Amino acid sequence: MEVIAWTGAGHLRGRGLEPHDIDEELLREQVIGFIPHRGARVAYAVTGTGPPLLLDVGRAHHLEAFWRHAPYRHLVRRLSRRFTVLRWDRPGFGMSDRQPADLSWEAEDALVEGLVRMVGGGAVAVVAAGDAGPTMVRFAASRPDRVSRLALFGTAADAHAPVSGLTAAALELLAGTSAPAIHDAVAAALAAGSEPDVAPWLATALEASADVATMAGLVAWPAGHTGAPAELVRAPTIVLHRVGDAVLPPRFGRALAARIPGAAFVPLPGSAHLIYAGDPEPLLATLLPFLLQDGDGEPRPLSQRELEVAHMVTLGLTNAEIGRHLSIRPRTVDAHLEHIRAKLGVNSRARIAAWSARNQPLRVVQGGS
Amino acid sequence: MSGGAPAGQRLGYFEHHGRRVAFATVGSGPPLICDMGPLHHLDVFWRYPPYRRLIEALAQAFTVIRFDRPGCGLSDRAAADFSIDGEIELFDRLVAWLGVDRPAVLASASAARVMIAVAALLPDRVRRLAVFGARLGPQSDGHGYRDAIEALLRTQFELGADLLARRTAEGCGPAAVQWLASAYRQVASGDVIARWLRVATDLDVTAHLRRVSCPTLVLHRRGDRLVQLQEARDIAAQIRDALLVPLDGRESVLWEGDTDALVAQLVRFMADDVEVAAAPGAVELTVREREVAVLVADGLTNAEIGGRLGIGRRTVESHLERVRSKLGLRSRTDLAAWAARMRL
Repeated sequence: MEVIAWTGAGHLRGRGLEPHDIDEELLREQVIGFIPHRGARVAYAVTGTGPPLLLDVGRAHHLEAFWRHAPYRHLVRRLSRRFTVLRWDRPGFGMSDRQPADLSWEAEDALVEGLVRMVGGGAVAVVAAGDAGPTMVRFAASRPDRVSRLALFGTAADAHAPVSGLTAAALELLAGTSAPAIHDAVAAALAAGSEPDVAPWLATALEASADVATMAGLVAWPAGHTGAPAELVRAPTIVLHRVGDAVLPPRFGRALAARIPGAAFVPLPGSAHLIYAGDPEPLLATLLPFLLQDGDGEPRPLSQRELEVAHMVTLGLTNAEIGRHLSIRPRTVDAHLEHIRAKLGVNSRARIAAWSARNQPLRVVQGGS
Repeated sequence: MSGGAPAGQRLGYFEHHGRRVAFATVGSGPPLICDMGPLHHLDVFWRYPPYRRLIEALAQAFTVIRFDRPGCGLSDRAAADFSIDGEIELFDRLVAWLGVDRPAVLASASAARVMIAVAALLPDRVRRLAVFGARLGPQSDGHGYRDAIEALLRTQFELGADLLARRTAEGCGPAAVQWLASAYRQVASGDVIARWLRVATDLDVTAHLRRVSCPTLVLHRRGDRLVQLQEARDIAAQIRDALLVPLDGRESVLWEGDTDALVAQLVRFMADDVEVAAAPGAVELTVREREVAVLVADGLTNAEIGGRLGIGRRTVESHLERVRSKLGLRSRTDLAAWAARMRL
């Protein structure tokens, strides 16, 4: 017991921080490691605590460049409060060794297998978006013992689902010329329907992620390759797609869900194709309860502190006021609320208040300044 | 463990090749050697609030051990030996003197490369290594600059120190640069600083990276313009199982800017081997064991110690037995000497 006292919590507790705050402090930055894989060092990042979750937002990724983008970081952090979130850069991309990228399905399978083994080898939850979707559908189908729950976002069963006629043609032309403009073009294409600042940021992030040849290979690669054997997926699966997706129309997501036995299709509001663009709240409000569901699907009970916070929301207090009443920091209140939302499967304060009013006996909040 | 701020640093000296080497400890917990490089002065730096805040934050979790190399700071100002062999000897001597077994090490800037070499060449001596602002190899553009600063340090010392501070404190505010310049004027003679620069500019640890076998953490501010993040990435990628944490900020000096995230990451990294540390044979003492050790060093009998701590004499004996076996000490006298050396 005493040994634990000096492990660090001591330092932070000495400044009046709760365990939540310590986790939040650690979540400010990601920890990047490198695993040897087929002669290359593959960069990966682990954030948060809880059961392992593989988060794959697309093949052209750069751990650091993406992390610097606040909306992306926000999404990762939210998931990291409930999961040990694992992200990575494929060989040839991002912070991994920049050897020529092997884009084959076989390489994809082997890499994911290696990553799952790294986090303990059991079954893991998987969230995959965009062009990472087919990879993870394949993996879930071929290794049913490795995937406990599968959440797919803004993706299709086939690797090369048409992106939107003109853009796809333009991309292929650019891939042919190997012009540096390819990063701009891919970013512009993928960021259609997202906030205006996404495209310029994504262009620089993609440029950091992959050189011209790799990017061109990625754009050209999937043509003619089909798909993942979606019918063989056995893990509980949810397919999320924004109804106004300006890059990949939602019918692709719907078709994918139809092929996976028992999969639910959930349309989300918004037009952003990218998982880290648009409003993250509706996405998280669906994603977290699905990922956190126990076998019987029963919501998990709230802790005493969470019940208190929920009650104060019912009273109409702001986070700052709740923090003062409970002598905890606003960030801690945020974390409690996040847990409450996830456990109850709701996405608004009003829903929390309604739940609390229904389920908690009346009590009086005392003191506070 | 008490959460209060440490009252101050405890200064001590040991002999090395007939010269007195100054070291300081602060805080309690497992030993963490903080190597800020030769351009360091235990007293001058301790009086600088941003530096002290960082050390005190670390001291909440660790027994922080700092030292001044021979020729620098509070150590005898006789000839310094900055060769890797000299560094290894000094590190060995410091660790032996403190009686710590496999301490953790935090090394900043140029010292990071020195400690990477030490960890590679003395694989069983370093438990965990954290480096900040580490450069991989020699500065490609460094020689002309170094020659100029060297000449200045030897002829117009204050101007040379000033230029060196401007260069080292990249991304820091004017007050930080000014303080560092004034500190450089006090850490060593112009000649010694110039000799260190010569060593530091050329020190290349590329070949050592693969031999570092202890868990390693590479901390780097992502906006650092003195050493690019890419170099930190390359270091982390080449050390087995190393972890890289890019941090917000652009200050190339460890204690400048925001250090909260840095401390949190460092503490977690060092704590990851709690089980190892708690295993028999490791030196970390529990709080109670530490209290007992201190009272032994004060000359109290077991009965008196029991009375002071409100525990039975038998309990005191079992604590002492564990302390002795953890530290590999045979007698009370050895234990008292160890406690005195650690400035408990």
